[in-house]
Amino acid sequence: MDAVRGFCELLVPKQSSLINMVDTRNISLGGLLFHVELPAYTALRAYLSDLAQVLRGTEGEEEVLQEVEHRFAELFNQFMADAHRSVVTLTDVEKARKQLGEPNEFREVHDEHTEPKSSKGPQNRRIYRDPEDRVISGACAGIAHRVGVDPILIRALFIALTIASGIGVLVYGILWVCIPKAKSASDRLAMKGDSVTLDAIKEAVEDQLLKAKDEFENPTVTRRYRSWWNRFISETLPHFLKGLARVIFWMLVVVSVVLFAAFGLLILSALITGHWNFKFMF
Amino acid sequence: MTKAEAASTAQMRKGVLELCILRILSKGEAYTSDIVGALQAVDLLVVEGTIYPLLTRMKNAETLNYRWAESPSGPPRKYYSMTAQGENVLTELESAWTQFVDSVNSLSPNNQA
Repeated sequence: MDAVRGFCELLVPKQSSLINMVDTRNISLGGLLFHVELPAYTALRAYLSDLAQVLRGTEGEEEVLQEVEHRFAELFNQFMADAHRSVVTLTDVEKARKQLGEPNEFREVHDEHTEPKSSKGPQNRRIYRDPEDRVISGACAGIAHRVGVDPILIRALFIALTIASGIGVLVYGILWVCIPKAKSASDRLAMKGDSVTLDAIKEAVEDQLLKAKDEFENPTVTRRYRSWWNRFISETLPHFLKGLARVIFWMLVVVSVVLFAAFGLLILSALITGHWNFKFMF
Repeated sequence: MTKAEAASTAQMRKGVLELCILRILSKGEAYTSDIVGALQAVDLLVVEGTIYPLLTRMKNAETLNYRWAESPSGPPRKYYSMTAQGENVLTELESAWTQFVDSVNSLSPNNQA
């Protein structure tokens, strides 16, 4: 039933780009109530969480955050009064943000020489499959990033293991299933061991702002079609294929385990009885 | 001004910010936006962000004190004032500043001394 309704909505869009109506959220900020348009809400949230990240571990972080929230409340209050409006928009958030400065500008001069605690070392990295540097699934590249060597070495190791005993394929398959793929920018940063730099945070916020703006300005029909198609291509289809690949893979695993066991038994019986007992196997 | 020069100037500004806050508060209590406004008026502060961690640190060091006050419009305001210890800090920083300015000026080629 939902699917049918979804399809009808696709044909007859409820929302036209001519309509300026926007969803809002009610938020409590500095003890005041604000109605905030959704894109503005997203941007404000992103800013505050980035700020919290920048301030983490610094002196009086909670108080500073509280003070900033108060300041936002004060500025919004002033903007609303000046323009006789009752809803906070993305423009208001951007204006306040410009006045307060980017999250990285909140760092104190004293912290600056102690701040860049480089987490470039491999010990701080997390393990992900690297889809950008892959031959099959990116597992080798991921392991290479984790231990801090060239991926070619890990690949060579797996190939050698495979030629030697065939176990390489099995181990590789298990790793493929177990290691998550690096999906987001922060995954990739964590994988390569880059500390989450302030510029990276800034980029992320700006990106989010732009996305919010875009979503806000172009909720058109083509967009809806496109997003449905994109979702099919980028989520539904690969999900299905991945599931299929997984099933095939596990069937292969089971078959190879059985074969290995049978082969082992054969050798064992040959060792014990002293002659090849083919009738036992076949 | 190049990027490096701008960064250097920003460092200088940050360095004297504590003294400036104390000078502002020596005239009486002020709330955060007053302090920010006073600093911005003389180009000592570009964005507000810098000030909040500093105020918190000065408060924790008991150089400053604050009280909440109702505001005619908007959220309650945090009014900062200087403590007795703050006055000592101000005296120290003032003399350090004078000495600093003298030292820097003495190296200027225009200096006759």
